[in-house]
Amino acid sequence: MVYRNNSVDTQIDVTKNIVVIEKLNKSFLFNRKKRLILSNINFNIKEGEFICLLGPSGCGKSTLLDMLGGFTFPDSGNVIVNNKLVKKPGPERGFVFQKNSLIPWLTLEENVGYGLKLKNESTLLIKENVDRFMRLVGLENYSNLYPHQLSGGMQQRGCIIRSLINNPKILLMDEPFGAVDAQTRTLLQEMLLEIWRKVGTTIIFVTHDIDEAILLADRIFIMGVNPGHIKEIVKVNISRPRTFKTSLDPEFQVSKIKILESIREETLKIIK
Amino acid sequence: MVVSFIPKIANQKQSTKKQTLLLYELIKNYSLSFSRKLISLLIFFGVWHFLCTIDFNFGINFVFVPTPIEVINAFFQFINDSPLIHIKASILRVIGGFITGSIFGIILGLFIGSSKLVEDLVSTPLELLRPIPAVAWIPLAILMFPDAESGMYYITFVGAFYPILISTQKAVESTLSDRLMIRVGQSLGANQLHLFTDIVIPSSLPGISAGLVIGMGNAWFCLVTAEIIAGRFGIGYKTWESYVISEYPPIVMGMILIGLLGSLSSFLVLKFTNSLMPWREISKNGL
Repeated sequence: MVYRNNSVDTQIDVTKNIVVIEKLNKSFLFNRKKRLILSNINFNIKEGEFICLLGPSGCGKSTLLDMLGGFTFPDSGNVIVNNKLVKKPGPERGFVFQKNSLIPWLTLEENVGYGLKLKNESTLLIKENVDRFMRLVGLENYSNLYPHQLSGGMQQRGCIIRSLINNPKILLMDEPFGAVDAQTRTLLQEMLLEIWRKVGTTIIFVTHDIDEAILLADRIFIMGVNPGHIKEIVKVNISRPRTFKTSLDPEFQVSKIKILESIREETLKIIK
Repeated sequence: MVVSFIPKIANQKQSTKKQTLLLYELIKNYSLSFSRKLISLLIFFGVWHFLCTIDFNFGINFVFVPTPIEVINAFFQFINDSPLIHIKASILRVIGGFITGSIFGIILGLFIGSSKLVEDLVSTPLELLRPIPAVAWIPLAILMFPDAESGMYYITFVGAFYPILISTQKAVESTLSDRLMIRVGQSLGANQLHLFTDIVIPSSLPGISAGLVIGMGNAWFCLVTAEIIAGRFGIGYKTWESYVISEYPPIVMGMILIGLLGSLSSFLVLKFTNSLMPWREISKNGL
């Protein structure tokens, strides 16, 4: 990876890495005092990978995702997605937020089609695509409802396909299933895996739920605290397709214990 | 509430029996609420009549206050005596002031709320003029405008303009302070213009709507003030004139008429703005 000049794309070596983060540091001002949030983050993510960022609250995992989304910027270092330096938010990097973020004054259908409407696509094409994606997540009967008429799980499914319809290079997900109940969450996780298998987008998924991370990810980036850093990268070797039964897999238990120990150390640091 | 939800989804699955039950429930609730409102009105008029008949005079003097019946008589006299010319004149003045106030208030509010530059440039003089009551504008309204009519429009405009301006500005500011919807728009590829038309404006509509309702009320507030400079017509003029010639029942009649027309028009504004926001879920029982 040779990175020279952010204004000339051609000088960047084309690699299979869809995401490259190099020597990233980020600090915030707290009561006029600078506090380091993320320190010396380096990692690469290959195209099509499913990555989970796992860590206790306050480790900076959401901030890292925000920087990939282009909502905030590092103090130093580079955030490169698809060989381009991230400078602002854009549809090529889909973002699914933690809170329900369907636009309240648009119906579900209008929400899902909003990205295509912004590209001035024809009504027919928008309709076709919206229908296809709605069927993919089983929302086809709810197109004309407003967000407040939908359940939390339906809303998050809507948010996911609203991002995917733009055909993004990566999908960034910030604890998207944090607010739904446990049963729905399992179903949503399976559904997400199914969509990922069909669409093949690279996914970066932030969570603090260890089981969720093991079920979903190819690799889990475990983050440490004070300041936030990548503590360990754990490869999950459980075969796919994975379902709710995967949690009974011996490999699952092995990974879980390993990760628990690693995370426990960090959580203790916060409590003390 | 669920009511908006039921007709769309659950309709097919519900038996007709359940539907009639639901309808019955709705009617029961409405009639209950209606009878409560009726009772409150009756009590209001009853207390008023009672205080007049006993010539209540303890701190507040009811001796010169006409009874509800005298006011009703005055009302019928007013009805028999070409009322439309007064009502029409007043309504036109209120609506004229309200519409110009809405246009200026909403446009300026949107810009002041979303741009620091515009705020710095225009908000200081506007804030200086804001606390000035409508009455204080009368001399200038007479001097500045070519005729009494446009002076009156100006005074109702002043009344409507400020609440609309401030509500719009605050609504925009609160939309911008909660970044979530802005971020959603950005991550889906919206540019500045899209963010403004698709996110900021709809999200500010509830606030703007509140401003319009208050603005409409304020325009009626200012009507009597405005019609002090009227030559001949208007409900406010009629009220003021009756005071000048010491004829008391028409004063109260004029007050009530203004109250009625004011609440009716506020209600219409509310209905209209609510129809622009079908996405909203309002449930007062869910507190």
